[in-house]
Amino acid sequence: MQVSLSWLNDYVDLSGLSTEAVATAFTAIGLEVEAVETSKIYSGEVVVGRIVTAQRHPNADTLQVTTVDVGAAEPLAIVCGAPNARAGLTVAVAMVGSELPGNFKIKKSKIRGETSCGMLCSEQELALSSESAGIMELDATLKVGTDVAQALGLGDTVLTLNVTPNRADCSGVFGLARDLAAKLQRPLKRPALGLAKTSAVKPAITVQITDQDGCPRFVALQVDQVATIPAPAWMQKRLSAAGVRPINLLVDATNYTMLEFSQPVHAYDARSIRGGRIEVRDAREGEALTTLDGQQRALKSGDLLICDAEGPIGLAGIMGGENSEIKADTTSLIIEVAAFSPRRIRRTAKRLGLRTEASQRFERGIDIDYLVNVARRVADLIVRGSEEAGLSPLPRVAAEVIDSYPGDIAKRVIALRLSQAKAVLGINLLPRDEVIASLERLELELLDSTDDRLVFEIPFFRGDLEREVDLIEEVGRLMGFDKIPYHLPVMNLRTTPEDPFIEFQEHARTAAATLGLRETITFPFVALTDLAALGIEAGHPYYPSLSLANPLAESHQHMQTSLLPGLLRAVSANRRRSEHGTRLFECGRGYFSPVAKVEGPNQPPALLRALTRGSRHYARRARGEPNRPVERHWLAAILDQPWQDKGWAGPRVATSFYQGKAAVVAILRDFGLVASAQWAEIKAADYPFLHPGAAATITLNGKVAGFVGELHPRTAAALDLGEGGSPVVLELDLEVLFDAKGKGQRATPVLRRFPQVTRDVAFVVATTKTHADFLAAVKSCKAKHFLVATSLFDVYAGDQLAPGQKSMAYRFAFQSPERTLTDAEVDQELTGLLGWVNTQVEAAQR
Amino acid sequence: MQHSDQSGKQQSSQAPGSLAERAVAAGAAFTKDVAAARAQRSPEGVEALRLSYLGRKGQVTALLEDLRTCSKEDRPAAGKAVNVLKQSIEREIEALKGEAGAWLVAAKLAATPLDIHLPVEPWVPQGSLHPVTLIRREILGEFRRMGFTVYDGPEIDYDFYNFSSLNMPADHPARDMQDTFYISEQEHLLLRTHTSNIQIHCLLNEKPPLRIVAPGRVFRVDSDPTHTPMFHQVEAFVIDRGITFAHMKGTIDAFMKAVFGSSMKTRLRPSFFPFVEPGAELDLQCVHCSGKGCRLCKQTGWLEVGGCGMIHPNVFEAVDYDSDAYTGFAFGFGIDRMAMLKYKLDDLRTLFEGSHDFLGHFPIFT
Repeated sequence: MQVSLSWLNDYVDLSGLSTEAVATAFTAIGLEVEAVETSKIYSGEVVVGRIVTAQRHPNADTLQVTTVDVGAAEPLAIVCGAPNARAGLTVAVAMVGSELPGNFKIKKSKIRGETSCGMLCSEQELALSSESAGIMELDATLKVGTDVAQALGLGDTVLTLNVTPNRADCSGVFGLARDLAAKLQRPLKRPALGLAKTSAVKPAITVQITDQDGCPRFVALQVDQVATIPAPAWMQKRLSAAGVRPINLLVDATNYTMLEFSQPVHAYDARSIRGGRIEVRDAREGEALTTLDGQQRALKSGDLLICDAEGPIGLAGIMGGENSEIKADTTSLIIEVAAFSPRRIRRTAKRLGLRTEASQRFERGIDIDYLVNVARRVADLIVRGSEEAGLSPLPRVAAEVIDSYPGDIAKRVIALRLSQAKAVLGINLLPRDEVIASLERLELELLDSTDDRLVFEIPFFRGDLEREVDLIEEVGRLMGFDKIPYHLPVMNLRTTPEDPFIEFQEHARTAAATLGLRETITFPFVALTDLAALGIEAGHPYYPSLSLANPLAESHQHMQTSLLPGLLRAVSANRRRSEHGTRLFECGRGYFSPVAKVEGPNQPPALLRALTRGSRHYARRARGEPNRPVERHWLAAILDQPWQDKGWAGPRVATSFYQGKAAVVAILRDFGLVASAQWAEIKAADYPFLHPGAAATITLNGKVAGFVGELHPRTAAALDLGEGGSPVVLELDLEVLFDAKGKGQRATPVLRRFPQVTRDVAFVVATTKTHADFLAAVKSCKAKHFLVATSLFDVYAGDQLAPGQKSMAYRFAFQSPERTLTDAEVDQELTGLLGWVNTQVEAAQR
Repeated sequence: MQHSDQSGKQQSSQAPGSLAERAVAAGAAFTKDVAAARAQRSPEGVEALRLSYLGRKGQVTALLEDLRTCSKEDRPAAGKAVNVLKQSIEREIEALKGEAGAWLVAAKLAATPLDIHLPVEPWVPQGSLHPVTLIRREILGEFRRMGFTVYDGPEIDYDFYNFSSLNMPADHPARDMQDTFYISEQEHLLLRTHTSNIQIHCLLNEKPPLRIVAPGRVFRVDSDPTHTPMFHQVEAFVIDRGITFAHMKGTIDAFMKAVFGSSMKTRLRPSFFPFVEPGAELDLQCVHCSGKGCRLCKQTGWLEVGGCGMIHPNVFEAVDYDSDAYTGFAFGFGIDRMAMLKYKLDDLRTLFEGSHDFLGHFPIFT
């Protein structure tokens, strides 16, 4: 809301207050001043001058050559065409270099041979009126050389206020003035109404409200003998300052009143109301109306219409119809001032995407009590504007206001307990008289009171005051929040238990960061094209099941199920910026629609069940929210190529599956989960974006905990990430990690005091055998007493071995907690171990 | 080595003269060999020298053996000569061994010094945490010290938790203050526009007295240099009997002083948020100019960082709390904005670009 100080000054005396003081007062009562702008009608110097001499131009009959004193050493020579220019006259002089409205630059020039150093201005040239007969004649007492705008008080200061949606009344200058007056404790001056003479003209129309839900009250006032002349300069100036374009007196008067009282007003050309009848009714399906902006609007039931005997003439509360608008030759007006249902207006305006100054005010609520006064005010302004323009005959205002108000609405009554106000605000002293006085300044009416209890009637323009606490806020607001002391609550020490998963997620972040990964945060939106590149199509468990009805961009249409698309986007962007070796991680959520539990054999796929398994804290299914989406808490990471760039100390090292695995192991290790993790080859159908020969899933306590692997070459190519090798990705379900934490078996650490004896053995096996097979074989060997560690130190396949075979070399470590082992003891145990392992994995020693 | 074991043996069997003479000759040879070994400064040379005189096949060993076959009359003199020789060689060898340690150190030091200016990679690559995480940890740390419990909630939520229970019924103009993303698949489902939905979840799950802090990501239909469709908020609330606006002022002030230092000042200005009454904007003394007025604070000396207020009785009633018995306050602010202030960033969007270089500028601990 933009308002000029001069307009405010009409209702509250601002004398003695600086602009800053006014702005501070507004901000202190919750009407935040966002900008202060002093409007200037020109740039450069336009000063008060006095004509010293005025002589006829030697070469032109209609021009005069003047000399003008502007307070400088020498008077200026200025050529002027105005007949009223004469010696002794006090004038407005636009100096060379100034710029007048309409980009009119003043330059030194020669007019028919005579030099002219400036211009004597008319009112029109300074945009003070729309036409003028000669130059401005200023008050002779003005001091020459002073700035004209300053001398005449032409410039105005405009405040831009951020009016919160609860303060419907403050979308009007008068409402703002009321609050400001209450804060400043200065009297509020209400504009006098009904000044215009009325005529006995019988209104030519009748009003009928068919849809009372949509329109509780409708006021109409007829004004005849009007003309579409320009509004007075002062009115145009105020409208412009408020950001409203002046059009003509009739339209401007309605806008002016709307800005004044925050009550939208509409004016119809009386000729265009067919059948002499106005009806307010619900729109019918399929009905249409062309609004003032020339757009045809398809209407639905629920939209509220103003109709005449033949059809719609206006979209109630939003915009008038083209068919009934004020035209250049309009001579008779019907002024509409109505109350419309905020909900209905809001719905229609929202549906049509047609938010107007009027609709926004109706949505917030208007003062249903004041409609007749507003209609009178519009009529007064039209008459006054016509008078000032010298129009004759003057407009005739109908004596009878048509007021259709079928169901009288009672004002709200609220009791305020002073004890409660003190309790909420936390203050000890709250004088009863001051509370009453400040609320009465806001035009609340005290109906009844006891020592503690004050009963107020709430005016309709304060629809935001609904209950006691709202009055408490008014008291606090006018008193000033700075008057409330600083206290710390004294409370029971009982604390609400914290879900340890919250801190766990932070630990996971630290674990990932200390591993050398950099944390990123991406938007959790995804496009189907991103997923198609990953091989995720409809029906796949990772296919998004939740999407946005109103995405900001096409790429933001769906809610992510995995963090991978975001991380891949980041890596792509980094590669484009020539940032190589990107290593990022993110903790975020994947969003899934829940999957109904199925009894019997036709279970949904295991991965889908794993992904949509109820997530923790807020799965409020018991409260009857069976469809509440599931939010999986992921920790995902991406390791781009290369692992190490070529350098003086070594060649380029490519990032491989094993580095990804090492990252997972390190994180698992940080939470003591290495021993309970089960590693398995991926099912290619579950993870179509992973290289099936270089990827693994991790399971903890039988639950899918995540995956790690090289990006599938096809996916890498589709994302243009193939060059120089695919990135390695991993994603872990933090809830599964959290739940598994501390549950697995943990070996008690023992400090061993006696030396370890090691034996290195190479096994030749089929290439299909895995390290896991060896570990299982070792684990299942019963003839073990001293074996404490088994570690793989070499894997070889090549010319030295038959095709289909590989060598895996292990170091076995033996140790006793009680004594130093002898070679014989160790060799005996080793023999037994090798015999067992060889049969288990079909191996032979090399 | 000129004195091999073999040559020593040859010498012992073929050399003429008496044992004493041979001992003198051996002594002379040893003196020469020692000089050679010293010149060579080789620890291996010292060992070879020891073997060639004192080893099993060494010259001195040979002399000692020949002593057995020596005539009785010559034996005392010869024995003395050989033993004197042996002892002096042993002493000399020990001395040489001591010197050899120093030769070894000198040899190591003599190698070309390293180019200490070569670039190195850290043992573990440089990891980092996101500035939003860093600031959140700082904030939550202070709240925990004040006895607050961290509480979490869903990011996709129903209208009830995000709006209607928070005194924003359907068709309420206040909903325009937060442009909302809606989910297509279910009615009334949306991306939360603020962390205040956690208030409702918490009120339904827990019992007062409550001191709760709720961080999280929130979503609004917005995108420009200072707005992203997703951003981060943190909200704290205290609910008990007898909680007042003055308590809110005190708590906010104490919290901000804890985070920004004891000279930090806070200011509350009346404003409107539907779920609080009275409601206020929360201003912080400008962190850049300490309130003197600068470009960052648009010469006002204050930065608007969040909102606060007394929890609206309608909110309590929406979750069946007795709004006469309980009062509470809530305050919230943007984490991203704090991060931008702290790290002097001017485009919020850079926080969510995922640039490896950019993110590498942040630490793990603050």
